[in-house]
Amino acid sequence: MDKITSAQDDQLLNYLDRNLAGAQLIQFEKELESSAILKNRLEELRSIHGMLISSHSILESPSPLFVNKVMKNLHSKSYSSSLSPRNGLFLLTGVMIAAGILIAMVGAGIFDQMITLDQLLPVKNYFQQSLPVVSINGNLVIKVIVGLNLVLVFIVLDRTVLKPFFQRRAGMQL
Amino acid sequence: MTAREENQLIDSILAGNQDSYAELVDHYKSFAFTIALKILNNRPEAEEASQDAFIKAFHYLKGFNRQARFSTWLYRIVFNTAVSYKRKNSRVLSSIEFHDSANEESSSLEKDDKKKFVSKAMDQLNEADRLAIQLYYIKEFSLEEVAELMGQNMNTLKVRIHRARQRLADVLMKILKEEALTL
Repeated sequence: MDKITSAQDDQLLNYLDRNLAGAQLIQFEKELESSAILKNRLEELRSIHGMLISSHSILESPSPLFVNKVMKNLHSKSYSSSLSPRNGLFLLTGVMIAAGILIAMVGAGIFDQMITLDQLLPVKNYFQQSLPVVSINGNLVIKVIVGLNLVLVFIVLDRTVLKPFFQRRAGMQL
Repeated sequence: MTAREENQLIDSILAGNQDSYAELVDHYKSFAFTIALKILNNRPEAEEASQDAFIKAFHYLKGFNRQARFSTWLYRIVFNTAVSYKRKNSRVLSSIEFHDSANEESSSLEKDDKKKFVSKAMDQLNEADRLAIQLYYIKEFSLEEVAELMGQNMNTLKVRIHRARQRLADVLMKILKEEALTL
C-alpha cells in the first residue's frame, strides 16, 4: 500500500477525535502498527489537530464595557416585528395596490354576473349529466378577498409602523 | 452554569429583573464574541454584532421554549446576526479589501509561526469549511452544537470537517516543505 485512501483518512480523523471504540479501535490500531504510511499520515493529521487546538480553542474577550453597553441599549431597538420596516412598507404597498385594483374592478361591474358550475367547468364535454345548479356570486367572492386584504393591511401596518413607533416613544419616555 | 441556574435566571428576567440578564450576558459574552469574531474577522464589528445578538435574545426570550440549552439558542442568534452583518458589509466593502484588512490585522497579532502557517493554510479553504473548522475547535463545542449553530445536518458537517482537515493537512505540508526549501 503506497497511498492513503479517503476512508483511511476518515478513520485516522475518527481516531484522533476519539470516536473509535471497542473492536473497531483494536482493529485500527493493529492496522496502524503494520503500516508506516498510515503512521506518517497520522502524525501529519495529529500535528494539524494540535495546531488547530492551540490556535482556535482560546476564547477571545470582548471590551471590558461589553455588558454595560448591552444593558444600556437593551431597549433602544425593537425586535418584536420579524418584518423590517422597509419590507413591511413594500408589502403594505403591494397589498393596498391589489385591494385597490379589485375594488376598481368590482366598481366597474366586472364580477356582477352570476356564474354556474356548468359554465365554470367544461364537464359537458365529458358527461351527459349536468352538474347541480350552484351559482357563484363573483362579486361576493371578490368582496371577501378585498376584506381579507384589508385585514392584512392593518396587521402589516401595525407590525411594521405603529407598534415600533409606539414602542420607541415609550422607550424615550422611560 | 448549569441548565437549572440558567432557567432560574431566565425566570427572574421574565419577571422583570434585568440585572439577571446582565449576569447571563457576562457569562456568555466571550463565547458569543468569539463566534462573531470567527465569522466577521474584525473585532469592532464582532463586538457590535454580539452585542446586537444579546439585545435580540433579550427581546425574544419569551419565545425561548427551554427544550434546548439557552447557550445553544443564544449562539444560534449570534451566528445569524454575525452572518447578516457580514452580508451587509460585503455590499459596502469589496471582498478583496475585506480579506486584506483581516489578514493585516491577524498577521500583526500572530507572533507564533505555527499560527501563521495554520492561518495561511486556512485561507485556502472555502468559507463554509473554514468556519466549520473554526467553530469545531472552539473549546467545549461539540459536533452537535456546531451543526445546530450552522443549521446543518450532523453527518454533513462531520464530512465537511473531515474533508477540510484533510485538505488543511495537505496544504500545510506543502507550505512547510516550501518554507524548508527557502531556509
